[in-house]
Amino acid sequence: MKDKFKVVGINERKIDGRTLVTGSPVFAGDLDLPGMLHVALLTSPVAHARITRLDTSAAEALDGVACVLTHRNTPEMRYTTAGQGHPEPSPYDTRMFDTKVRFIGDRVAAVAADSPAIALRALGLIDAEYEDLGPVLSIDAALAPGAPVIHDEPDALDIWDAEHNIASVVSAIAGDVTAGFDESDVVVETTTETQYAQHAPLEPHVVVSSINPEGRITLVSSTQVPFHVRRIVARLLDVPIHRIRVIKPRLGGGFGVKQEVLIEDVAALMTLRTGRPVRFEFTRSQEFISSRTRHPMRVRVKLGARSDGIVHAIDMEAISNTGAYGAHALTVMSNTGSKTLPLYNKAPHVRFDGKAVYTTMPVAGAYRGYGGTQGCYPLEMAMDEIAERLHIDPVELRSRNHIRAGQTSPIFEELGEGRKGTPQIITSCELDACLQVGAERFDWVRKRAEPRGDGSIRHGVGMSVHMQGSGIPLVDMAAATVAMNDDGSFNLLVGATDLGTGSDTILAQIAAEVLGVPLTRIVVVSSDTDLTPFDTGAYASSTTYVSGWAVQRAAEEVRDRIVAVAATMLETEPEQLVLADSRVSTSDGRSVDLAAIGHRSYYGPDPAQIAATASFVPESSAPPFMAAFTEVAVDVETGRIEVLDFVAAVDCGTAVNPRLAEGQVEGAIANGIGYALTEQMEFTRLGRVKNPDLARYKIPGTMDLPPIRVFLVESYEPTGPMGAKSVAEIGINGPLPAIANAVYHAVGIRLTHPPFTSEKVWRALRAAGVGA
Amino acid sequence: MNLRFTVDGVPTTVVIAAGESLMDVLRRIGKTSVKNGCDRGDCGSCAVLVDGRAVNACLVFAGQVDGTAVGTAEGLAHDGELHPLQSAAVEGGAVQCGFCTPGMLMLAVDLLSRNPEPDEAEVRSALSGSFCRCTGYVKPIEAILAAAGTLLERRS
Amino acid sequence: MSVVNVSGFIRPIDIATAFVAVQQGSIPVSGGTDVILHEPPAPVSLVDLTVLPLSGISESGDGFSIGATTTLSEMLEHPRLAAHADGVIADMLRLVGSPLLRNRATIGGHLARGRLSDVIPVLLSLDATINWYDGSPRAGPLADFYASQTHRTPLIVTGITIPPMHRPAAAAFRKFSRTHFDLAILNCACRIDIADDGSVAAARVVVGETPALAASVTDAEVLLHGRPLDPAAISSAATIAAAEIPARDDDRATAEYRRAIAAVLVRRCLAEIAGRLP
Repeated sequence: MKDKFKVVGINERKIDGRTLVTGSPVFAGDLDLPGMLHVALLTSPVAHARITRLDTSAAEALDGVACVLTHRNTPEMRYTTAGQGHPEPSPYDTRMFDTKVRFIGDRVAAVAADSPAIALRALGLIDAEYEDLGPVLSIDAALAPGAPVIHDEPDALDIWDAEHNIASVVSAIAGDVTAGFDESDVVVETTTETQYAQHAPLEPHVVVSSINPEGRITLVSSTQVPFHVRRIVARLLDVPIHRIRVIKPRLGGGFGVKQEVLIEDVAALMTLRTGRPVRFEFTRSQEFISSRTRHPMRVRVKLGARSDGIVHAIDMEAISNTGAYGAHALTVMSNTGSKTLPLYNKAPHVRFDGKAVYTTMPVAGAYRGYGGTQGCYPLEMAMDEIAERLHIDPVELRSRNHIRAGQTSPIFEELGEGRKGTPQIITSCELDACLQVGAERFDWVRKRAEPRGDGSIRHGVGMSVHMQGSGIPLVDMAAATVAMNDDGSFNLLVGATDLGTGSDTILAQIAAEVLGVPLTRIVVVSSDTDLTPFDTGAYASSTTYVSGWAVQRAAEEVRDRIVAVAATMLETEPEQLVLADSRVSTSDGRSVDLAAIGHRSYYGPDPAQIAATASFVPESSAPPFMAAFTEVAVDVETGRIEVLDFVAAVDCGTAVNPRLAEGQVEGAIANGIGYALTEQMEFTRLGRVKNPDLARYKIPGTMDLPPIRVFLVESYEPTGPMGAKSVAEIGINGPLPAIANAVYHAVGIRLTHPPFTSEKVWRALRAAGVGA
Repeated sequence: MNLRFTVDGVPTTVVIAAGESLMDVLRRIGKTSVKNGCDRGDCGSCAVLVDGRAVNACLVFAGQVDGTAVGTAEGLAHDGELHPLQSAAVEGGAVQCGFCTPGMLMLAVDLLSRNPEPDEAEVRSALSGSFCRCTGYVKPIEAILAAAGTLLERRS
Repeated sequence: MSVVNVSGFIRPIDIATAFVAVQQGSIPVSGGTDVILHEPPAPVSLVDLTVLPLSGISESGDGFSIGATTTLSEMLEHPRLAAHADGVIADMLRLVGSPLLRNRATIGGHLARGRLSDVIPVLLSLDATINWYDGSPRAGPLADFYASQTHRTPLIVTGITIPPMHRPAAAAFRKFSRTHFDLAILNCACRIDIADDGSVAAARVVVGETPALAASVTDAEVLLHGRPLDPAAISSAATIAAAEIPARDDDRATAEYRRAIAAVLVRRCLAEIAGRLP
């Protein structure tokens, strides 16, 4: 199938590569407009309080201050910042500026001034007083009887149980887990508790807003979801959607945090109020404190297996801390089950219970892996334990249990994104090949049998398997327009949002493949709500699979139009013609090139634009699969874990651009290793982030990472464009369980509270009497 | 105060505030390759060359670079031809979002000027103050090694 | 990071002029990587020390003389200095900050700051002498400079002198941190001189980032003196270090953990030295 591709499957250069390596002004923060105002944000110094006094008169009087926003002069309606499709699955529990603050970092006021320095000075002149309502700084504190009610506002919508600080609840059941455990020969149980972690894209959030004389607002924003930004800002500001234009320029990484609408509303309102351009950019510290994080989660997994290792019953219970607001609370928690449990579909008895609770801590949101990361960790640790108890090799245990092409899982139907799911039969699964290739490249059998050492450094190897998804079935929609130019090249207009992933390039590859032209003949225009057709945006691993299909369909329609014109020109029937190598040819050797067709379409005879717009809504969410293998060295005297090697074998269907696909997995694994070993937001006992900078929040640098070796296995997904599945998220899920399992192999302790910092591991080793 | 220096070989005079950072000054005069990722020397996205050595522009008082030669990623390409480090980055898939890339290129230029034949460990070490969240550094390191090879070939 | 409260740069013609400005409240600045991160409460001038002839590394019978405005990279790239004392200075410098910081940060600025340092323990272990100017040129042991809190008084660090090693001797350094580009949770520098009879003629066991400024573990040094550097001696020195360092809790580690790490690092440094000695 793949052999016939000419552009798809090729390591084409990223089409914006040259622009990026020359440092061209293509990011939102590079935009400098005449008369531009700069925003400074006053945030709450207390975790949970009512604002009792807020005097901005001195700030407003300061020379150079153009606008001050507070709860007194901004819209009161409730919304969610989550940046999701409509209807939004997250509760409407947020106001632009509220009379109450719910975490240290929550919005209190915003100032726009002639310079950043003036805006900052004005912040210092705002007089605010707070009535402390008592911080709520953990899941347990939030659920304790008599806990302060964080969302006591009467106008919030879709909160599950505000009085008890429960944002959302979801459950799914298949079979009877109690009976299932009774029937099992071995039952294990693991509870893990994951930490607050931050995305840390190198580019902080930034937006530049402006207004033209006709009253149309333009937002150039570092967003993953330009169309959702337009819809949400329009509603908040009571401006018709058509009066707002959102442009996503080049983006300096997102990883989920730029799905949130955190700055655009403020900048747009300030522009409306002042008539002037406004730039609002987060500082790195605000990026940590006031943007979004990964949901910390306590997940209990109970797993029952028969003596042959076949998993018979799975019970997963997840409680997530969504922080002060419920952005993505329901859907991340749903995915904790839905992106993990179908993997072991031999089990007839499966139950999932999820609950998301409010605390007065930084807000959690979408983060690469989206709940799957938190769920696969205890599940894969439990599988490791089953393997040990039954004396089955961990690779073999996965091989006996994992879902295969042609099979389904009841979870697909029972558990969707915050609602019932969609029944789905797996149409491609090369996890067996992933296990085989990964184990071979890693040298699993030999390394697993090697002595672990008895000195201060102990070696161990561990592995895990994973699935994710490709978009949200029956929810996501992507559209693309292909229009032919008079030189036979094409404009490809997509709402799809390239965050640095290379999606502009791979979408162009798909178009070029269909249209029989080299990649250089495709001009990509992406993510501009005035110019490009709708796309839900870059999240949920949707772009390759969902947007890719829209592109393929639009290109196919254009191809058919081209062939029809060529048939007229060549005086034959369209069925006799083939479009390839920039020409339309007959079987007897006559042909016409695309430039001639393009020219004719503009200048006649019978000129007409050759163009098509197509949409795509997925009916399934074909999961990519991955087998991850890692080797660690544990220093039992200090507790330090060094990751020595990391191998990931991945089934992402056709890799439209293998090099870019590898890059997605490599980066996600690096992020996952940081999450496993060093990354955590730390808090004071009052709930203040102690480490809001990259000196103290430890993301991995070059010296902290092992060789990361990614192998894409041969695969073809029949429901995907050109056989492709998406691959952006899955890699991040591997490191946490694989490293935890390798540490167990090395020193016999199960680490359940990441990150596995050296002091924490040292304490666990001492408690277990290892190395002391 | 007046700052006189060369930027990418061009003699430049700018009026600056005494406490301004080199990063803020360079961005103000349109050097958008100098990215502000943290403004406190933690991330490396603003790396530029001052007299050939890569430094965090956010940690340098502009008032101290008077008379120096400052180099940015915008000065790497000549007559429309990319520098081998830039080409290798594009060819090798080393660029994802590209926000950290210009700074990383400056570190690589500094490295190769002193060590034209670095091994992988030396490249890793040279990049240790430059964070990338997209790539896991795999392809950036490969690209720098490839560019070093290209540069050596050209010289011989 | 631009600083608002800087009224101007003073470019002194000599060290005396520079010092007068410092006495009047101006802030001395060399590479500036630390100064630029701290907004002064009121407008001040910066005295640019880089215009003074304070840069460079020279070697003589007295050892290495390093000018205050020499960057850490220049030190690392000086072949003779990098090879000195079993390469312990180079081993350490490779772990300080990142190349971007080392290319700008200077030894004088680093020593004047006098905290958060991997450099200071190594220099202490090598019995380095610091030179400064406080109206007159001064010199003294680096250990005394910090112990007497001299570094908190108005002065300008002008350089450092690292004496020659009297062979047979060996040195080693260990840093323990969360990631590579990080401040240490704890660090340790040791130097051992061996007498003709094979016993320890002089010992330096310095532990830093406890998180107090690095200091010698005097009892461990006394214990090691005059006996062979054998496993028993190493183990005792490590135990003493764990007990005696002024360990405290901070955001990077607890005091308890720091004591455990101190024992490990001291043991590993001394074992490395023992393996290297004739």
